[in-house]
Amino acid sequence: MKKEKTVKLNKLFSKPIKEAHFQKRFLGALEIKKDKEFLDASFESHGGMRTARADLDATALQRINKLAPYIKANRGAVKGAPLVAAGILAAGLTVFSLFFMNPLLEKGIETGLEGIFGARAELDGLKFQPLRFRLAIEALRVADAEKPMTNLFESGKLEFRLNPAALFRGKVYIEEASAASIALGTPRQSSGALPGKETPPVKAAKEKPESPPLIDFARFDAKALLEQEKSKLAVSAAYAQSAKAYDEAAARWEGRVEASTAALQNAQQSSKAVLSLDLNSIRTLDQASKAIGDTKAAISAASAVGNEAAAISSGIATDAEALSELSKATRAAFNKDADYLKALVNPKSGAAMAALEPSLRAMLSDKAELYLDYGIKILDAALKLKASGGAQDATKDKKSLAARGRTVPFPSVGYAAFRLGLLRSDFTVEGSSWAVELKELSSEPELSAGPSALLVSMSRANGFAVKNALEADLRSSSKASYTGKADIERLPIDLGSALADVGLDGFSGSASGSLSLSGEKDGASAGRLALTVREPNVARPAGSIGMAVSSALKKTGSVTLDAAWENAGGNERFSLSTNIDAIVEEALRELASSYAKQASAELEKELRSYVAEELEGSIASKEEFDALFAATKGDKAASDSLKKSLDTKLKDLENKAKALGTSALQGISLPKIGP
Amino acid sequence: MLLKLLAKIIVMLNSNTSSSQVAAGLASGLLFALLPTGNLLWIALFLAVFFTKAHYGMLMLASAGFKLALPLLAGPLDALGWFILSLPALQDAFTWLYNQPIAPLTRFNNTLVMGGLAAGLALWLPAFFAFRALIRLYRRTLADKLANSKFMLSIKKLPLVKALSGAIKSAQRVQSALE
Repeated sequence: MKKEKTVKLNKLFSKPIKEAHFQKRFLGALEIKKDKEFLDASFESHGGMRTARADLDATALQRINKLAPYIKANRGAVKGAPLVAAGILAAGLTVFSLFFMNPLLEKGIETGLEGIFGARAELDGLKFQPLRFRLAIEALRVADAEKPMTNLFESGKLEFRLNPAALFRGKVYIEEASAASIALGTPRQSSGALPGKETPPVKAAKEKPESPPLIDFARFDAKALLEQEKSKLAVSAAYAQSAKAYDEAAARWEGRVEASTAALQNAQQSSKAVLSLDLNSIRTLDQASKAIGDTKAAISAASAVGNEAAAISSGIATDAEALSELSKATRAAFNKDADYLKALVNPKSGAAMAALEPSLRAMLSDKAELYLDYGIKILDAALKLKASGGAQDATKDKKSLAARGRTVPFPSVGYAAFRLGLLRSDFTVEGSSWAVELKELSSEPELSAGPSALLVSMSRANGFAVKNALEADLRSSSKASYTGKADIERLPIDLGSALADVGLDGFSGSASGSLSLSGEKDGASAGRLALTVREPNVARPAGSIGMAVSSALKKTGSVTLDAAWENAGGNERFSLSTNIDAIVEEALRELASSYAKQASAELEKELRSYVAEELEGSIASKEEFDALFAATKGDKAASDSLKKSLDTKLKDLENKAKALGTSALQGISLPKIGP
Repeated sequence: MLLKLLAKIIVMLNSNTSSSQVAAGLASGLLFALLPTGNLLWIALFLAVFFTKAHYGMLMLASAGFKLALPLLAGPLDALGWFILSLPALQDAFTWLYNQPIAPLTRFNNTLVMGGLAAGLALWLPAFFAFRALIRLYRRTLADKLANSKFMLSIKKLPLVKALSGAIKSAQRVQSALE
């Protein structure tokens, strides 16, 4: 016989339960109707208390016990055992920090840098230690957007100390950072252009500026110099202008003069009959009257011809005056060209400086533009960082909206979204000791204590040192500008072949002085360089002047140079003052005196010859114009003479008619008129 | 796996598990679906739910289910978030909050986070009461009828349903063992 299993009632039901409590906490916790009815029926009520019925069998007891967990679980809304969740969270954070945090941060920083610099950014070995608030990066490379195969900058190991208070506000405040090394303009293995972003066109190299030649007196050739300078002479253009004006004037008057001459000839022809008329042959008043009429018609025609000839003569006279002015200008151009050519062989006139200035200007402008361009790039990056702290455009593409939404900025009173307090780097490259400090770079510069600043200094064992301070104050939203100043000490310079055209190939020396730069975001920038070059030396002097200058430079021992460069709204201005001209003038005084007079005379002779042989013949229309002027003057005189003759004839005819009229009246008695 | 999940849901719907807890799980699932992940607010709310007796299984299931519809709701949620974050009356409060520790990590100033939070909280109570009423209605009127209907009895003979039944029994055993 099978023994019935003994079942004990769950402790939850062992004690008497108050009726109200039983209804609310026990029956109320059950939601299946038949379970509820079963539990209600299994407990009997005594004096307001519920106890389990004594006659419940094992099956019933088992069923009641199965309901106990639901009754317990369904009580209240809160439980006190969230350890599982905490455990899951801890495990999740551990997994995240071990496998996902560093790669995600690396990608995020790369994306941010690419947004700021517009070119590929690469980070190696990022390691974030959240409990120590430290971040380390093994290497960082940011490509130059304008030269994708070159890095804008590259750094060695970077270490950052983060501000915990800012981090708890979701901000990145790097209190201090250090870089093992920093290098600019290093070559890249692969292109640093961002996908889908066009590489900006490479700026065309500036053409070498034209400069007047420095004459080698020892091998002076006036004809060759004239040939070389012909394209710059003003007299050629003046002659060309005169020739054109004469051609146009001749063409303008030629037809009219011809027509006027023909009209004169017609008038003369038609007047012949009138002028040859014999007065004695006129016997009647009718004949006299007809002759008078013919004469008046001839006078009228002669007057018209005379008026046209006068008008033409007046017009040609006006043109002749203008052409005369052009001739004067041509003569002035000749004189100017003669002076210019003579100046080339006269070093006292500043020709040496005029020859040197374009080369110096090009070289210094290129350098200034390079440094000013770096300043603009740094300023641009800082401004992009500043812009990243602002609101995202509400009209951003819908895809990114759906994915990430929009971030609405609220004013920060303590911490910028990103702030770099100080980045310091000291390193040595090829015997040069570098020290770099970057201060206060922030996405919200208004919250920074001071302006953004970059301090770079470099020194060598031989005493060469450069200290460079670049400062950009972006705290005012109205004006974005930077200023920079570099102090230079014993900077070795070698201009290579930059001055070779003026006979000073391989100019070198040791420069000391200062360079100041300033610029604004709109592109306006200015620079000033004040340098003294000591121990100047020309490695390969050429020509008599080059040799003389080379000796003078050695003798003088120093060259001073003060250059100012300014770019406002695309208009570049450059000014340069140095003692080079004085050195050259002193060096050439004796040399030039023996050559300059003879060279000047030869040059003027060559110029006159050139004008006579090549230019004067170019004004072919001058003679034609003069002939037209003379012809129209002759026509005017002839027409005046004809008119005078006709006037006399008319007077005679009128007298004849008068006489005929008087004789006809004699013997005729007039009727009496009266009452 | 899917069958077991389905089985657990059927067991839960037909057991004495509190309808309020199940409804809270569903309503919270809706809230978590609307709220973007990857911010401290989501983590904090998720942790807070672990202190309640909301049904986690239903929370996960509802969150995954509602998440499927999220791409359709992104635009309205973004607009709602922008509207709230741009309210002039709240600018001082948001600015103060933005400058407090931890608060910016919640990304409350993101339009999708704010829109999702506002919509999720506003819908939580209506969703809770609606789901609870539906569960109670099912248990009161449909559960028994459905279990004993000819349709269900014939369905139970199908191989798939037999497998499902087995899964239900094993789920019940697991539940009993846990209890």
